[in-house]
Amino acid sequence: MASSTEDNGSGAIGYIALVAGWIVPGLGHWMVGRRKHAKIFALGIHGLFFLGLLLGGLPALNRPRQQLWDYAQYLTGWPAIVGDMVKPHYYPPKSHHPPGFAPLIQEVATAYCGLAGMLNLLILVDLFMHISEPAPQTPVPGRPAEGHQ
Amino acid sequence: MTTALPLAWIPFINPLYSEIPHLTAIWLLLIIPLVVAISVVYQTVRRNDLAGLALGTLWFSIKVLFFMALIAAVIQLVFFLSIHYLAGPLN
Repeated sequence: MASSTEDNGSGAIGYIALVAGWIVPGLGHWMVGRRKHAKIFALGIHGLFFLGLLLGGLPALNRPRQQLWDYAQYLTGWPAIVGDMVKPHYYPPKSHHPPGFAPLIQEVATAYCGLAGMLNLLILVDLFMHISEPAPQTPVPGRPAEGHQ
Repeated sequence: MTTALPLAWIPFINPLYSEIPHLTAIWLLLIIPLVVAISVVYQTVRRNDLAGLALGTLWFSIKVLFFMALIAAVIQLVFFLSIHYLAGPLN
């Protein structure tokens, strides 16, 4: 059933899907009809990001002097954007470390959120490759078209 | 005289280590969910047909963990040898 709704999303819808796939991980693949892939991507990226957020809390985002992780986290889309907007309300700049500060866990949590963003970049590259493929309009010579016999 | 009350832990806002002390003791185990998540996404990207995804993910996770452990062991061995043969014993 999933393949019946699948097109390759070429044209403007494909590029809108790329932006949507950055803002909400998995939405891009959903828009071009790859529903099963979209569900797994959404679960994987959100799961990894929120696991990092559970471990490290908001201090895992937008770490001072760690801009590279910050850029990577932004690739996750809405969770990082919302998290960065909310963080100053709970952790003002130059505030003290949270109680029981565990630097190792804090680094792991930051890495979780950053790697979620990098994985979303991989997904976006996959989506770009998918929408860049020309849609098969005519059957390949010498090979019968699938599903049209 | 006022007494500061401990604030309630809010998930996703406050770190988990504030609520669970000694979380650092299991930090190495946290690599497992990370590797599994990366494997799931990577295997999904590579497959058009998602049949066999679970088995592929499991196998890929095992391979990644095995080779990471192997690299860690090699680094540990090089460190050990360099300490003993280049710098001499520590004490």
